[in-house]
Amino acid sequence: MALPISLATVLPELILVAAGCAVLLMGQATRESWRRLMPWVALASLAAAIGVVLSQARSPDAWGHPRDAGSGLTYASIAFFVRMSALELGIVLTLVNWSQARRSERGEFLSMMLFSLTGLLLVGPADNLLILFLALELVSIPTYIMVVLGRTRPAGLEAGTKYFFLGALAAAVMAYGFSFLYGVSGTASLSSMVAGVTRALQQPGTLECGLATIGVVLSLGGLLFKIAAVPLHFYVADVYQGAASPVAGLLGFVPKLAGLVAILKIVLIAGPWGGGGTPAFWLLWIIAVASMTVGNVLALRQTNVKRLLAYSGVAHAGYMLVGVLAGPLAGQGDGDGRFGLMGDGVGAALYYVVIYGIANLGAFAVLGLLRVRDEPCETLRDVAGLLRRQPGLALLLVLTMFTLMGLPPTPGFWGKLGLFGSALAASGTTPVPGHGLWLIALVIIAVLNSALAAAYYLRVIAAVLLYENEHPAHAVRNEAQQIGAMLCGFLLLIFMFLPGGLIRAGREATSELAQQVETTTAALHDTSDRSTQ
Amino acid sequence: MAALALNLLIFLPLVAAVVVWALPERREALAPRIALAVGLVILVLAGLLWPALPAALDRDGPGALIGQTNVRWIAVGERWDLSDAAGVLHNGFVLRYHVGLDAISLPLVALTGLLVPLSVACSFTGIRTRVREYYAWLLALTTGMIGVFAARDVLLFYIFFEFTLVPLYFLIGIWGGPERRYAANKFFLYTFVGSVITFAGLMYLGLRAAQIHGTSVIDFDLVRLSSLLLGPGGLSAREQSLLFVAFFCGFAIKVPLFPLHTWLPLAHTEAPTAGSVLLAGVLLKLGTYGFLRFALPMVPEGALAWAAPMGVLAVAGIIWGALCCWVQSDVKKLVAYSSVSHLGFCMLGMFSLLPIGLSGSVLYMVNHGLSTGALFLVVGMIYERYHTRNLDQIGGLARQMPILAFFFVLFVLSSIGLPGLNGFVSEFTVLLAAFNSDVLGRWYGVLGATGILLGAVYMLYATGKVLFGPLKEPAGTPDLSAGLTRDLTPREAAILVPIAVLVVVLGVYPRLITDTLDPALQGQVLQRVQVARPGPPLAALTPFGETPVGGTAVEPGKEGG
Repeated sequence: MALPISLATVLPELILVAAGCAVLLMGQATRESWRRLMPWVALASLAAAIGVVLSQARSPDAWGHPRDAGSGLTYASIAFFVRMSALELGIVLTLVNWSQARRSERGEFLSMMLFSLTGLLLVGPADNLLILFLALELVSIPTYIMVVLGRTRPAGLEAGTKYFFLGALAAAVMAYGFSFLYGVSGTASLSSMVAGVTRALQQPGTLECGLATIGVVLSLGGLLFKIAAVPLHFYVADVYQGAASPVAGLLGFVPKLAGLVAILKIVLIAGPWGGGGTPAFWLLWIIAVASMTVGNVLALRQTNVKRLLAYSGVAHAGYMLVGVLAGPLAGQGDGDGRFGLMGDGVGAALYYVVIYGIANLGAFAVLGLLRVRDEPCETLRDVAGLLRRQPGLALLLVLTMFTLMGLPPTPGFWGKLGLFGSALAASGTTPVPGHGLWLIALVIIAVLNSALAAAYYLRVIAAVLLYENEHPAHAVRNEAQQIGAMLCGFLLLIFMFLPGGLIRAGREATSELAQQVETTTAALHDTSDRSTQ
Repeated sequence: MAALALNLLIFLPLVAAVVVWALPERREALAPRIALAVGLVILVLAGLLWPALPAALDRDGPGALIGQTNVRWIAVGERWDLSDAAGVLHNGFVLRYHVGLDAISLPLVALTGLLVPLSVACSFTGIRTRVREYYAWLLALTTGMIGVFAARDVLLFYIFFEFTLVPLYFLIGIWGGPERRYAANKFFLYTFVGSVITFAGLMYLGLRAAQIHGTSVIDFDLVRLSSLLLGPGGLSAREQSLLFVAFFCGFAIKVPLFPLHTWLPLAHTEAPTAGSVLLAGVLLKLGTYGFLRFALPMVPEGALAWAAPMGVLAVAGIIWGALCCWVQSDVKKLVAYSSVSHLGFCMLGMFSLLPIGLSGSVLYMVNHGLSTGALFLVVGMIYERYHTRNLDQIGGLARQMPILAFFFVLFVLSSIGLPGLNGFVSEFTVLLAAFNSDVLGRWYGVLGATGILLGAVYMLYATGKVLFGPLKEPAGTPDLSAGLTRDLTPREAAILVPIAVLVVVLGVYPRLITDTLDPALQGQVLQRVQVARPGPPLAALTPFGETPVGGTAVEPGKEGG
């Protein structure tokens, strides 16, 4: 019996898993020289995986990419985007976490990071509820370990415990939701499921509709944990504070991208873009508004930079959901009325999650490099007066703050332009008339929220540049970590002046999503036409 | 050639800023020299651009641009062909780096070009800490200011508009007075909050423009957005009204219009002298320029609908600002509040929606930049010597510093609108427009004119206290440790002379600006307002043509008071 999927297609994932195991083994070596090699192995495996992914994209047939459903993995363009951004940021993550592995444990850290990235690579192509669930858990479980590794203080252990239990709860909720979706549609394959679930949702009052609604709501509810959106945001501040700074930087990207892509897949089968007043629209609308507002208001009250960034991450999850609500077809009018960047909300959200990941990681990398009296640098008081002592790191921290604030022309501004513009574009053409005004209201709330957020980012900037400090922070000597932090800064500068490439990548990633929505909508119209006749 | 000059104007300061920042510590003394050299180059370049304008206007009509550069910065869309520079885009979004100067923006760029070298030169003795950073931020601010006026793409304008916040935030927050951090934060947050709402409005307008034009490419080109169809099939009156409110949020805070002005006196008082000069001289004009460039031509019906409330706020600002000036004991704060009052005049003229009012309003922007900028310079020079700005602690300085006294009096007279100096021309035309405007009406003019009366009162009162009467100097002053002399040094005099010359020249011959300005305003702004306007065509008042009836009788009488 032939395997349903060629092993060659999952070669990047296999490379990472192999490297993860190798790093784990090397960590046991007694010779320091072996252990010093561990991060190099991780880097090499990431580079090799990038090479394979690029080669697969160039000649998909030679690598045997299954494009048909049923094998559980579909290599659509969104898979390429997820794999490339995960691997490329993986390199930065390895640099930033370079010395994390050597301090007290034996290679567990880097191997966990590689396993987590493997999960992220699988989330992109997952086309089956089971694979999606397994991939998401492969992303999350290593992060539970990473949070506590090498942490001896009770706060770190408490954070790990909290993160684990809430994560387990969210995973259970999500799996429960998946079971309803499977029950309604009779298939676990996401692409074949669309028709069944959407049809069920189109018939209000029936049992199928109720079950499908429960399925969608529970699945999305569980996924909110991954992107740290309200109401599953409670863990975020404690976990970010308890974890080492570079790990907190990782938590801002890997689970967020995985969660966002999974949410897209679930939203696609629930179909708020295809028409009809589905619960997903209202659910996401309320979550987006609540996340932005709650995240920003809580961040305003923080004096600990790590907690502040954690709550700002909640707000950023809300901004991303604005793009998800706008959908890949935002602004599609009759005929040729579609609006590119401004219209493609999902593409903008994908762009934004990458930019957010880089900026967040950059900020945490700077914090991770700084020590105040040999303690890690955490509070606003600790970073005060940084410009005098560490001008390079200070400017990098300021750049990341301006990016998160969305000040033009930082990459964060291009992201917000895309997210909010797409929601405005969608407002004019959404199939359900009432949704238009709600989308405009969403944009106004989002814009006011980004103004609110400026207040606390400005506090960090003011602390760094305007204040003086009796006990100024000093930087630890760690070349790899410094290179990683600088790399974040360079990436932000590049995307500041040349954002076109990444924006186009985000757009292309959603092109097949858009086609899928179009076909679903067309099919639905056919069935509804037939039923009326 | 002109294009090269304009791009140099925008980017040379930015490059110089990086160079100055990167100077090694032992070469710190080079920083002010480099900054001054760049400032002078900017002045020369802006001067070179000036003669090109009339020829361009003759050739291309009122919308003529000089120094135009138009390249795509970001282009996202389908069927985008890299090999084809002008590739046809589809389902996409375009952001252009499109810069150029027309008759409305050129005077303001020239004003910037004049004030930048002066504000660099006035910092030589005052700034003694973190010198390299200071000049780097000052130069970065220059890039933002020139870019804002040169931008022909609305999104590009917004980018430069926000970019100006960052350098000024640092200039105030690091080198300012005792409350500098609070002032800097308040300044940043006020402006940022307002402008994000404007941003939302601009995005909406860009989308609607694409819908109205029936294309799938979103383009923020200024001319395109300023010539949208109004009424059925285009922007509805309700949309325009809401968009006007969105523009108002960003621009009115920047102007600043009463009652959103509270950040201004604080920022002005705390800022270092150069920061105050550029803030008053150039950055406040971003608000008025925004109204003129965006609010009026893009949403004319909205502007028309809101003209009367805008007039009320303008008049309230004139009177409130003037009354606040009257009770100030800090002379810098007094000048700051006088800005609130003066920009009220500027807005009053603009929202008369008459040709003469708009033209007077732009003149007002330039004149206010000159005279208030100069007053901040003079006050800064006094402060450097006496370390106080309190009117009760200094007095009778005219005997000690006759040259400074001369300039002080000259700029005060220009500021209160003495006929023959620049302030008079713009104040007079603005009030004339308010009297004759059918959207505002006579009472706006009458109430606005009391601002002139109050202006004369508070300005002359302050002048009398500082310059005349018995000599009062705080103990241990004047402090001449930084190489100053008792009266102005030649460097300080050289800073003030160019402004003094312009104050007289523009007072005698305002046609230097208005000759090119009037047709441009007519073609770019007023035609749009006229489209939206019910009733008879605009009153045939031209600024310096035939003498209108009605307005003139009041003005000299007020002036005498």
